[in-house]
Amino acid sequence: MSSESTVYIVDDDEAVRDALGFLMKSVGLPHKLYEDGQKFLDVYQSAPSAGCLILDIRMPNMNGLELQERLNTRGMVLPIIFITGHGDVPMAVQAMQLGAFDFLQKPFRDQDLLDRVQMAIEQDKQCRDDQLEKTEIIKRLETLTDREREIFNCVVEGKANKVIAIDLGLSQRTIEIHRSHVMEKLQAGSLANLVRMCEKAKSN
Amino acid sequence: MNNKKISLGASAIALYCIFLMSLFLVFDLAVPLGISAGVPYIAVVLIALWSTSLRLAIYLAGICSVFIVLGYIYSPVGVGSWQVLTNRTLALFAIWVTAILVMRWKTAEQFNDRFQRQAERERDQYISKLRQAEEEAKQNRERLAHVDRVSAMGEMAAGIAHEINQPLTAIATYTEACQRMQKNGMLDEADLNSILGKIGAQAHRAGEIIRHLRSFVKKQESQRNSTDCNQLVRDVVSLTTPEAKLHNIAIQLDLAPDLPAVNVDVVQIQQVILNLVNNGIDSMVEAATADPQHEANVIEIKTRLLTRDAIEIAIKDQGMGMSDDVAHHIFDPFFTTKVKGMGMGLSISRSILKSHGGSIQVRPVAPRGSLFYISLPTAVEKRVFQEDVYEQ
Repeated sequence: MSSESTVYIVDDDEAVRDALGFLMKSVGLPHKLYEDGQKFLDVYQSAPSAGCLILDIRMPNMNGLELQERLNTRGMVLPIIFITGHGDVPMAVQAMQLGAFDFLQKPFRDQDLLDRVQMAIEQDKQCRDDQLEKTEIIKRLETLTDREREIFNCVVEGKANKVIAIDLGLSQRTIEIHRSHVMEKLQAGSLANLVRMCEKAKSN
Repeated sequence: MNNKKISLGASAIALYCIFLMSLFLVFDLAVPLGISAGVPYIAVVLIALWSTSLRLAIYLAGICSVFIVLGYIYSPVGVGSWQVLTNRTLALFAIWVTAILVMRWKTAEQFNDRFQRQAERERDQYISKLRQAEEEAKQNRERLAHVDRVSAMGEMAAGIAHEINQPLTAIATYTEACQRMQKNGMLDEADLNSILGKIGAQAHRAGEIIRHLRSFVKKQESQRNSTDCNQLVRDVVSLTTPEAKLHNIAIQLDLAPDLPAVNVDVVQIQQVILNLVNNGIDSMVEAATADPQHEANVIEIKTRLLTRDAIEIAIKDQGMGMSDDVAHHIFDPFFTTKVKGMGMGLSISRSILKSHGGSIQVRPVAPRGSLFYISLPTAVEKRVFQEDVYEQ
């Protein structure tokens, strides 16, 4: 349980909200409670941080699905666990299709919720780490010269130096020098890593 | 006197008459009044006919006749005189004609009396049958209102189940959190006390919902109590909020403070308001389906003092609205523009308000939607609002 991850709880019912707060407290999870989507957005938009969101689907003014949409359009990837009441299955299906992490029907067992919160926090951390890594890789890629770039593209395709030399009309020695520069700049360490970095940079 | 038996008064009068007649006889025999002996006898017969029973009167007339004949036979003037004979015969004739005429008149009067009493009896029977029919009609209206309430509850079942689920979820979560805290040694007495209190409160909350539902759905005799309109509105809103939430509709209240009380059957008026709010919700759901872009999700309920003697409750929705033609028929029984339902809700509402001495009307609002406004008399003066048809 990282100290950075916060569980955000949005539910218009005061008792349910309060009880969920207690539950988080009982397992030592930092949490914040909001009574409606707008209040949550106002705070979260200015300081998007790690964690997950427990969201009631049925709320007046802005319901859970609308909030999910707003987060999606702003590109905020906080994992959402929906809690739904009676007869909300169609809405729950829609929520899953729009990328929700999971949903639980009320009343739920505390262990079920906590398990999902744990997994969601893990996924969120993973996501953020991946994102950071990607940004770093792209930054490093940008330090490559055009020639180095060319050679990088050929290397990750699995071509041998000799073949690259022939393709680009350069000497093998030149290729080797450029290749080692690429490795250095990207801090790859191995060909496998280099390929992995390439994939990562292209993802999402 | 219509008695079959001869009453004491009648006998007394008869005896008095006989006494008078005897007097006249003595007078007749003593004094030579041959000509006009009949007149006093006729007077006596008239008295008898008027104040005693007809049978006695006939007997008296008979005795008079005998006395007249006696007076003639024992007359000091003499039997041979033809004036005396004519006079006595005329007297007899006069007595009997008078007797017969008065008898017929009295018989007709008695018949008339009997006839009138019969008519009164029949009228009373008619009135009591009418009252019975009124009572039956009232019971049927109450039965219908009850059915309407039950079906309204049925339609709102999803919202109700959701509403009860909330406190249950809170209770389950509080309890489990408490157990964890205890296991981790994080629980102190103050916290425990606080959580237990909250659990209890949630259990009561669920109980309240059930209780309110039960009282709304119960079949019961109409009873009127002095009530605050605003509290009545708030109670209805608590019943209908889950359904509204289901459709993203908010209910806004604008309740005038310090309204005078109204003397109403609380359940029935709640039924009316609930019906109007549900109609508003249905209309707005329909509008949203037809035009998803349109941002309209508020139902407003407003109370205010209309005049010194009446309070107005207005329910405004932002739904489909209605044409003039529909508005004209909207309160008719079995009239509906919806696929589901019987179309009885508004007609039942109108009859409930009528029996309270109030009214219900509708008008369109801009840009779209409907405004239903009901008026209820205040409990300031005591007024009786029974539907006595024959008194109108």
